[in-house]
Amino acid sequence: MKTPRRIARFLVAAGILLILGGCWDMVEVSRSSLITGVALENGQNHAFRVTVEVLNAAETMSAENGRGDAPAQLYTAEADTLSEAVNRMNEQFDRLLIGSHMQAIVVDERLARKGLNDLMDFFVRSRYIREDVNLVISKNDRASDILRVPYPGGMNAGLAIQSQIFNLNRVWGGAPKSRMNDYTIATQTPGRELLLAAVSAEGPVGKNMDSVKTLEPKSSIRVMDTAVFRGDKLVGFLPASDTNIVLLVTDDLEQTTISVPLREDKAFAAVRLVRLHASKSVRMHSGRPKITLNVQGVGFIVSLDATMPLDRASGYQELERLAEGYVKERIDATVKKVQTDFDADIFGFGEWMYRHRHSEFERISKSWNELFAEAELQVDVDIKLERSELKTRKNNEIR
Amino acid sequence: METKLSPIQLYALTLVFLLGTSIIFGTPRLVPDTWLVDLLTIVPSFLLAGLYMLLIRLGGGGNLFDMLVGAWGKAAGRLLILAYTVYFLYIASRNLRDMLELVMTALLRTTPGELVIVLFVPIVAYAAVGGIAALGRLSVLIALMVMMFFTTLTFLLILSGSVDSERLLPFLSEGFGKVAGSVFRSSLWFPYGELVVFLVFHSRLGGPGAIGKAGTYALLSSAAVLTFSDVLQICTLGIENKQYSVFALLDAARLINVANFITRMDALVAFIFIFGVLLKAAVLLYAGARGAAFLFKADVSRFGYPLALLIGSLSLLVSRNYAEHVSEGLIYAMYWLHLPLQFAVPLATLLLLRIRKPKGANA
Amino acid sequence: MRTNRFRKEAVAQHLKQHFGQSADLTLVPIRVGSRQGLLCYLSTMTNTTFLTENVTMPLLQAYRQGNFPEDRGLDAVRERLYGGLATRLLDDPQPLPGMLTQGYAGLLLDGEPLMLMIDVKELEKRSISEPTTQNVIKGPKEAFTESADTNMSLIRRRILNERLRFEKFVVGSQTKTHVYLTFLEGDADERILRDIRGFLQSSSIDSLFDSGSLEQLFRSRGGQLFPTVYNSERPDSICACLMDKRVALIVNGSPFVLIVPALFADFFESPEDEYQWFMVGSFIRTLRYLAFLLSLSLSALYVAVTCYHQELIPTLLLTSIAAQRTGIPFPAVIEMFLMEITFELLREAGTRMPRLVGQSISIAGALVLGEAAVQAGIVSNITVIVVALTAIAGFVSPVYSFGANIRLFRYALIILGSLFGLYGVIVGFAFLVIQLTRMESFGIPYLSPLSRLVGRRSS
Repeated sequence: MKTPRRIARFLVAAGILLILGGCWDMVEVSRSSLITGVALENGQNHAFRVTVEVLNAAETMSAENGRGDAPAQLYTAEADTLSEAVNRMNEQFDRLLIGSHMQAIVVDERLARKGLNDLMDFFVRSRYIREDVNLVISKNDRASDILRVPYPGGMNAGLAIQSQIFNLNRVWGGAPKSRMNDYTIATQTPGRELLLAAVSAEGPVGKNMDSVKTLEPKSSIRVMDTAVFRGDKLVGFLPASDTNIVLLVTDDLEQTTISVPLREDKAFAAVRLVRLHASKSVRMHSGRPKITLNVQGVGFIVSLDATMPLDRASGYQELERLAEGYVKERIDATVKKVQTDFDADIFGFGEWMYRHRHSEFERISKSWNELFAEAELQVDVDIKLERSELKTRKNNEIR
Repeated sequence: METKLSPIQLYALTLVFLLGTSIIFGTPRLVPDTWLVDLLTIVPSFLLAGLYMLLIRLGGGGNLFDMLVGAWGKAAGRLLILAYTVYFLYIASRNLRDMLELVMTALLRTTPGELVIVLFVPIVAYAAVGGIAALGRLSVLIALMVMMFFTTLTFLLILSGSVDSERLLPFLSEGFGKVAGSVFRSSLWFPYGELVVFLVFHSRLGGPGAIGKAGTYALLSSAAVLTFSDVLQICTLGIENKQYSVFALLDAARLINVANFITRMDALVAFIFIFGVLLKAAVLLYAGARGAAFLFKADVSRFGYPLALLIGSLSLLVSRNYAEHVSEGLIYAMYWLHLPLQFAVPLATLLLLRIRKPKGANA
Repeated sequence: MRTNRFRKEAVAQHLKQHFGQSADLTLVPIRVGSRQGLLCYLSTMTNTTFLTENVTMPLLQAYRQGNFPEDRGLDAVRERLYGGLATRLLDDPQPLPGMLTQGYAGLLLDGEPLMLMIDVKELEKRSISEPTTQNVIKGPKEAFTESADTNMSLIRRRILNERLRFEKFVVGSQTKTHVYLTFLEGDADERILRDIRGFLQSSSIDSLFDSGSLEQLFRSRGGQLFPTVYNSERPDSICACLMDKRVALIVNGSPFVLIVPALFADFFESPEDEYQWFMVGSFIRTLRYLAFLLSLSLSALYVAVTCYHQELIPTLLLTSIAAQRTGIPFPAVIEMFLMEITFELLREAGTRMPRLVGQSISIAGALVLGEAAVQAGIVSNITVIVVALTAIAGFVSPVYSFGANIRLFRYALIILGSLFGLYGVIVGFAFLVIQLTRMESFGIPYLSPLSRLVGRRSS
């Protein structure tokens, strides 16, 4: 019959085709290693010094038969472009490096001050590096020290950074999300400046895993400040205690806890705010921007230092008033501080004008940061306290 | 085998044909408010489709080729048929090139493009040789898949919190004139103008009434979906980011991250695209093969595989790099190919037919 | 017109010549009244008890009683002795051997112009038992047997409808197998019936032992990878299809009855779905489709994604896979092929092994071989898991012959995946999808979502 012959011919042709083909892109997973973190610094002989943190698959959390060795290793190379540095890692390292699971990019402070755009072009273009990789600025002498901090339980530094920033952002708002995607969007949007988390390694950075075998870790990564940028250049740092207010104003805050000072001396009430929303409107008024900010929040009372009638509505009302006043004060202070120290609109007021009052903004967009420094702010805070957890009054009132 | 497509098949065929490649790219980024361009294109696209419907009604039941010969006479008509055949094959090869770019960017890297094409082209031919009935059924399946994946993509993006509707503003930042200009400069011809292909086999599509109805729904739906796709892309990426992305939907899909568990969904987009291009290329190849069969008086199935190889090699040869490919599509193809063959020639044919056969006006 | 006179010796000679030394040719001389006669039959086509009770005893009794009107001869014999049996009169000795092979016994009286053929076919057959391949938990447990008569009766007793028809065809020029075309008059599509009738009458094959061969003949018209003919061992399944305006083909000698035309959706339905709440049925049906996809693509996807697209796997999973695959000497493709071939060997061996030994092979093979291979560092754990899942998913289709062909395509997908990554797998799938949409089963598109035929034909 004709059909078997046709099939045979087809199979031979397919076979020839496939034999002539090859596996250009095939990567053998067990002979390659994942890059989980990258640290970028100024190089001595070349433009950049790149340290990569390479995962040791057998020692990570997901493997059962580890021997307690370090979950990752660090390798360093210098070159004029980042891509060349990474591709030449095999001068020291035996396996193929896979970049698609990179978790953190640590940029040295000095490099950041010169400008991020040149650095980030490689990472943004590459299809392997995902947009939610964490981009952080290091305040240490050496950026690669950040990657040298060991963690117990088979966790590598890259994952630790990612996890730390994520949780800090979500629970207290102490760090911005600090992802590569944020960098891309912030640098492209007029009227908003970039905010990234700044980390530093504290304590003596370990050479082996012994430092995690004691009760108190000898070294750790600390998310201290927030790095403020103008354009793509680093201009300064904002302390962590102000970061949650900044995030509140940009409407990026999920939850936070504020310590509201009460009328008595050194007495505070801790209020946890869980649903926060800030809406702004900006207009130009005789050459100065006039910013109106409306903050709404819902929260509950976590702890009290003084007696307060929380079983009556008046108690709640008073506490709400105090909290609102406190938040307003903090916002005013923080915005003023940014206006004087940095001259950079990290809050996105300019962005609001760009979107909602486009033609007005077009005229002043070149000098927005300077205008922002002169802006007037009017804040309205509305906090609703709903409940006080398990107890109403404080313990010492009951007797 | 004079089988007719059912209305649903016709709707699906038109939908996938229009969405196939545009959904990934979005409209060409001549203007920030690309979604508005998509929306506005409905009106001229209906006019263009109306022109084709008139041709169908007045053509006297014959296909495009018969109409051309009838209107322009044997010599000029055959020349035009040759032009159209080459045109369809060229568009097919451009689509293949788009797919090649996506695969090389998102899936493979160093594998030679020739192999990628050689693997794809026999399948296109296999689909085309199956005839319109099989293509109709295939299009229903593909339409379902494409819509399902697209909806999943949307849903996941919303769940990941990456969608910010404020990014759509500022509205009309560059003025309405530019938007309107963009409609006529590119959006109308790609993808709506490519509907001229359907004239080649309209007799199998179910008659002017059915074509009109299904076609209307399809035009409206695809405009809606394209607008929505553009809106989604802008809301997740931002206008500026989208303008510099090669494949905007792919970039948007990379942002999906639901509970740190559902991430890395690039493959979905590649899947949508490959199937969309498969159908478009098959339909165009079929039309081209019909043209060749008409000119050389042979059977359609004889031309299927050879022409497929032709468009495969053409897709590799036609542009040297990506920038050339895009500029060719936006500038040269527009003025030299799309305008005349999608608009001028059909209009002229219509007028000539009316002159030669003074039939009563249609409704 | 010259009348043939049957002569005992002549006929005996004719038969001995025709059947040679065949041990089952039995020639028994008889006497009816004063006439000599001959009873000839093939002892393998009948059963001596039956023959004795129904043919020989009445003859002897009549002889003993002696009140036999000798002049009426064969007619009398036919009426009075064999009125309850199927009989025919033959006037020509030519078809005699043929009729003997069909199970007739020939009774001739010397000098008569006609010969009496009595249907004495009594064959041993397997009794009705449970189906071996298509099991259900809740539903009838009768299965067809090899005898076409039993099968027809199993159908007839379920559809007590006068419009049920059985048309007999003889297929196979050497084996002369009976094939019965079964349908409901008025419901079945005339064009399909015409096609099938024509096909059966004009087929030129020599031998037909099982309905599978007939299925293959039908299949050469459609695609090769997917069956266009449905087969089943269960009467309730076949009857449901008959009610659905389809046509059944019963082949004598095969417990599998064919149903034509068959669509893609049929191969994922089990009659059990009808007997339960529709949500459960739909859920199970969705599971079957999923299992089909899984069995086809899981191995290929695993190879493609781990070798080409590591960026699509979550980090923890990737490190786990990398950790497991440390030290494995083969690339992922070869590992996959090794395990798949091993599994095919196991499956084939399990089917062919004598029943007593079969159990130990499957358990030992699956567990021990897999575990030992992992311990020896030849394959990785995850490959074993993937192959096992694939194999199990392949058994979910209720009709065995469906999975049999598509298994081959799995290997093609693995090769494509190993050379071109996800792109190769997508292209392979596209090919499959295009073939499915191009296929038509007797003019009805293969992928029609309605398993109920509503007479939608494309040609």
